Amino acid sequence: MGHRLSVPRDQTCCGQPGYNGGHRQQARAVARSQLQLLADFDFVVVPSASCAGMFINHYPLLLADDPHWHEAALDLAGRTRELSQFLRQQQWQPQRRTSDPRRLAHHTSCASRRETRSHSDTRQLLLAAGYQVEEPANAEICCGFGGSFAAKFDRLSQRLGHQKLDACAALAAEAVVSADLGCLLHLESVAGGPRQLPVYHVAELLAPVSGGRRTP
Amino acid sequence: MNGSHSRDRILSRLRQAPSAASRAPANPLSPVHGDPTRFRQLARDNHIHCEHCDEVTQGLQRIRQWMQEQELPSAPVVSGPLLSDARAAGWEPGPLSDLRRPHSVWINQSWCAVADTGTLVVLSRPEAPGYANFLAEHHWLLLDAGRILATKNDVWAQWRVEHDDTLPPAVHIISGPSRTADIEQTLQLGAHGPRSLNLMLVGR
Amino acid sequence: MMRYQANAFKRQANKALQDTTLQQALDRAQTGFVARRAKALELVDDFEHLKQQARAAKERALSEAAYLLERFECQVTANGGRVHWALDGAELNRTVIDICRQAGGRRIIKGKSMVGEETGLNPALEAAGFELVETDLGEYIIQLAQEPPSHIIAPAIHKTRHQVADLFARHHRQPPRTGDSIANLVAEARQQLRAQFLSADVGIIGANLLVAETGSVVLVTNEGNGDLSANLPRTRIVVASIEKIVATLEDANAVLEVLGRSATGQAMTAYTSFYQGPVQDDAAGSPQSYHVVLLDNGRSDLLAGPYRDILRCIKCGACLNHCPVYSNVGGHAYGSVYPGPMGSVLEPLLHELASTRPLPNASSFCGRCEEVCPMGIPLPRLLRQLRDRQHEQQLEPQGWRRGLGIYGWLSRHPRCFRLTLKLLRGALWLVPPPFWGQGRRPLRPAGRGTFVEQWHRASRNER
Ligand code: SF4
Repeated sequence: MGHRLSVPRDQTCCGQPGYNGGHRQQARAVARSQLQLLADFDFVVVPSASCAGMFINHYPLLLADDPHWHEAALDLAGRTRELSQFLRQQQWQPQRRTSDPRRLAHHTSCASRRETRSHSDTRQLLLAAGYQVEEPANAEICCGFGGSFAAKFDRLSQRLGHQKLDACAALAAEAVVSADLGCLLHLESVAGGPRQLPVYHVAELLAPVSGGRRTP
Repeated sequence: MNGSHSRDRILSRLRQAPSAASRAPANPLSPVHGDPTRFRQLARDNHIHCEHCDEVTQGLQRIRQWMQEQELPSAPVVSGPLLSDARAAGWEPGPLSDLRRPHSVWINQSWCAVADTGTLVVLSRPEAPGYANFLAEHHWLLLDAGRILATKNDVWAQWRVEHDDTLPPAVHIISGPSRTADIEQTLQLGAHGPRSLNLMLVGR
Repeated sequence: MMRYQANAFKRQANKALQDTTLQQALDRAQTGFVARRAKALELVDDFEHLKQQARAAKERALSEAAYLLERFECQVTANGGRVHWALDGAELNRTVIDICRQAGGRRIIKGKSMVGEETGLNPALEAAGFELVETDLGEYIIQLAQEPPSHIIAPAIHKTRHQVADLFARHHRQPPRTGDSIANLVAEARQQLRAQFLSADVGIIGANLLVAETGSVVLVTNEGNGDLSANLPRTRIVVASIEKIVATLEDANAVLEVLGRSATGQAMTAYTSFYQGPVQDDAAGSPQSYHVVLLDNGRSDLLAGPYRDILRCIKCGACLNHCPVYSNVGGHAYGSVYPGPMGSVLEPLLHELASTRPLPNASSFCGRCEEVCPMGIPLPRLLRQLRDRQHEQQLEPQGWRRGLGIYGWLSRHPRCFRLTLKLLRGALWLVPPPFWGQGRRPLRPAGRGTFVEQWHRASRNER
């Protein structure tokens, strides 16, 4: 697509744990360091909707009272894309159609629905690549991850995770795909037992049809 | 009791908040009429039984027939302005206290209706007390077909056209018979108030 | 009386997750409410527009609340009623008790009122020797069960028909019913409550809105119990919190447009009544005595601050019905009067932060509450602000505080961050269950080294 890609070694975290955990000052400090690090790129492509949403919607709020940093935050917000969003905007095309015959359940994360509004991009990419994707029932309901929520209210979080996987299983899906790493981490960890649904990030499924690595 | 002390403290705290001088938009002046077909459709969706007649006496006769069909034996209770019509229709209406009896029927006038929501507007008046609308087991309202307004806001506009700014003690906006879904989310009509709400549209 | 505590949220929630009867009831409730609201919204051309109008009406009211409340008081007085002001719950209860005593009443019927729940009005009245019956069917059921409401618009949503049938059998002195059909239960309650309506001395109702221009109290119900309570007894008392005020009848309509649709999926509920003054048309000839008691209870302090948005809440319950937490644990788990997202914001503000610690944290920030809130209240943002405050007051557990502190430090020191990740990567399977709970399988990272390491190794090789 004619872009030069860097993965800055010094990137750490978007600061969401502190931001959602009441450590506002800490989140501001982390945000400032990420803003500096990412200042010179034309696009910042984030493979997780919740982190992308943090850049796009929450940095400007977090730094609203500091004109210099607020400006920088708005600038970053304008350059940030969730991965599927970016690929669609750049008119990504698969080099071939997938030969993977599995039925996939697309878990549209809350962040990709409500923060980056890019869940339909993910779906469109997967369809273009020839995958069989479907949204499970109650797709707009949270899978129960929510960062520290998963640790603080573990049983509740797992219950929600199981409900999500049940809905995926009801589609007779053989795997789950999502554009949000947090949800995947969580769903993978509760997907044990007889169910054993493999979970994939959308990039893992697009790579093999882009002339990259083979299907995982 | 230190009521006035509390009053002053609450108001002074409220005044500490910055107040934007954003005034309400001016009240709309002329009421707009609504589409009768839409009104009837939505009223039916609200579980309101609708009938039609040319004039009040004819309507009351039809209600009388309905009561026989429903096997409701006793005389209805009728609101003041309709009394002479009721007598003309061959009834001797019962006193308001009859409403406490099982199978009671209350016949009242609706002041106007709202097409937008299939809703009837009833005023509480000395000759037609508000509680009657909730106490009766079956509720009939007569509505002048020319008084179907478009929206809820037109109700207030219509009031201002016909009266001054002072509303009657109560205005009841009624959109169907009494109902509840408090047990297992299952809809049941006739929770405390009327089991049936019936509308007689009078005139064209 | 069952006792629930906000600080025991987690224990109560876990218990609720195990309660199969409750889970059935919650399932049914959630699907019902969500589907009905969705259908109601489909029928309007532009719900966003209605939302904006409702929100603007409420904003207008908040921006001149003092003026409008005075105007309201003035109108009610002119119409023959009396307005009382209560700084807190205790004052509201005292005021209501005094009015009941002056009226010489003993038997009270009550329409549903969340303000009454907030101030503990029922126990206060009972302690003062009054006989009190809740007349909303749901409230009546939980009054018999001696439980608090579990939903702000459907208080007995956690009960199944069989539980209701058992309660009725225990409390109603009448021959046993034939069958537990819901219709039979509703008919039985109707019969029981009829007698109460007709013999009560005082009627207490809540209010959905107060209209300044006309001094109207707006009451929105489906059963008609509130209107019977307002109209039949010799004395009528309305209890309402001050943020219910709106400027005009049109502004009230703007709120009504979104209230019914968001709450029960109805464009209009069966009954919406505008009460201006006392009933004048009593058969006995004497006018009814009419009182409105306005409750502040900390709300006036919220107006100028960062939580002002919550004062727009119209208690429609949509945020509860769409909340994945609420719909899995139910209202009692919150251990508070107001459950769900709106409650998790309001409760810590009405009480002190320390007694409601889990509530602002009991959210995955999925954002669905904000999405469905007809008043555009940014609930996740307000919850986040409360978490900030908990942190400032050092209310979160020490372990969390320290852990997040370390993580924050690492996030600003990339070399150490990388080193820690590398170490953690090798030790992920060791993460102990209390942290990454029982019932989860350990994480198995792919490849050799962290992603950033792998990337840089690969691009070195390519070069
Ligand atoms: S916060 Fe919004 S959705 Fe929740 S009850 Fe209040 S108005 Fe309704």
